[in-house]
Amino acid sequence: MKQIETISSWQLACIFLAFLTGSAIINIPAPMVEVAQNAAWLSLIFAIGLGIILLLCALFIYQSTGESFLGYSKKAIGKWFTLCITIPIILLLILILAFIIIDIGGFFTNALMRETPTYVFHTLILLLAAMTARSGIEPMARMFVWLIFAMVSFSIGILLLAIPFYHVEHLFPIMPDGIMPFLHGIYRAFSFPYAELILFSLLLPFISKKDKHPLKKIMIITLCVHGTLILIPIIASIMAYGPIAGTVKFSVFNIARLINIRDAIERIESVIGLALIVGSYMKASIMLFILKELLSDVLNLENKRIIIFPISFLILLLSLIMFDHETEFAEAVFITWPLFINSVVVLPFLFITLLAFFKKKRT
Amino acid sequence: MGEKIILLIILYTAILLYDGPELFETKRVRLIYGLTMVPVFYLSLIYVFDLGWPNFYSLIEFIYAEPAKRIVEVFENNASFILTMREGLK
Repeated sequence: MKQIETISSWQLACIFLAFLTGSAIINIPAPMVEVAQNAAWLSLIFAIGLGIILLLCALFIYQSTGESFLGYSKKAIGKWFTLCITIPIILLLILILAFIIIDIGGFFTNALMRETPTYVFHTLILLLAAMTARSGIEPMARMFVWLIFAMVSFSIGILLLAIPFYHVEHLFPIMPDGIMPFLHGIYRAFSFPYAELILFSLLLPFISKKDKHPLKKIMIITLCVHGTLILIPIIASIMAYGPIAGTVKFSVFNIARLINIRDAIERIESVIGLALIVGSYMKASIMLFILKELLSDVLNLENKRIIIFPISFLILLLSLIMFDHETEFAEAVFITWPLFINSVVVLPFLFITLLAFFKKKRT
Repeated sequence: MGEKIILLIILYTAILLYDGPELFETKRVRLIYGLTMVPVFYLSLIYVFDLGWPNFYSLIEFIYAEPAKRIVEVFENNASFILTMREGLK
């Protein structure tokens, strides 16, 4: 990918944190507890471990070749085979963007503004994400530092205020139904959000060549910080809701509803709503930016920005027509999506990593 | 339907007004832009007339839905099997 813009490794780490934590901090707890029950936090730790392996693979390719895995793949297996890998990834990015938009639209219509039609939220969020992606990676990196700070502090603040509602005894037994729910939890958490970090690795070549910071260390620390930020809401929702935690959608939002401190601090769930909107917006912007880079690379476009609005329009329409009911969306996200991302992104990525590894060993 | 048509008119106009000047750069850009708009027109028709035509997700669903369900069933069925065994032992 040809680009002029560059960012520092710290800025990239900030975008990485926004990308992974983004919508996950609100969306992950309920589906994880639903399948893995009290072992959800343990499943997440294992999924983070797998995420670290993927991250190390991506950094290995970048540090040994100076390119992303698709950039290296062009040299290793040729342009046409790389195209066969890239096109499904482009389709996957379009789909995930539509999912992010549907998720945020669903949140608005379920929890905040029931009477407003969903297309209003879909259009506005996508328009904002498209304009952010058009502005480039550097403004994104600068802006997201503050947004992620706000998102994390709101979420952690709410979870701290809800301490009186936590019951530590709800955390036990850890695996009441054996190991399979725990493994299911790993499968689900790995597919969302950890397999997606391969898509993020396509941004590694944007790091300035003059940057001398220890990239590997920074990225792994960022992943661990993200892991902690996701673990806290999972443990908090288990402690607050016990066995029904898996059925409470947007659990952090609902924990915020419980808070009532001396009748003075109450109904503060809109703060969490803000965190969800900001998180999803950041993730959508980064995904759209990656999609723009991939598309302009495949289509060999000089003016990369020109493709953003038509593709955003396509995503908007997809988000409006894809699913008639929420259950269809849930099935797509929790059943179809994991296999799709593992076959289209993870397997080709591991194959390219193996190629890079053997080539380096030979030389 | 009227609401949907108004939304689409606003969006098409806004996009063409914004991207219009850049479309005159080269013929190649116009061609790629036009090709990208073809699926947009198709999806617009589905959206406005509530048509049951296949969309992009239908393809993914066709390929992945069944095997994906089987994988999830492996986790769920084995879990319920273990649970039943435990209940039996008790």
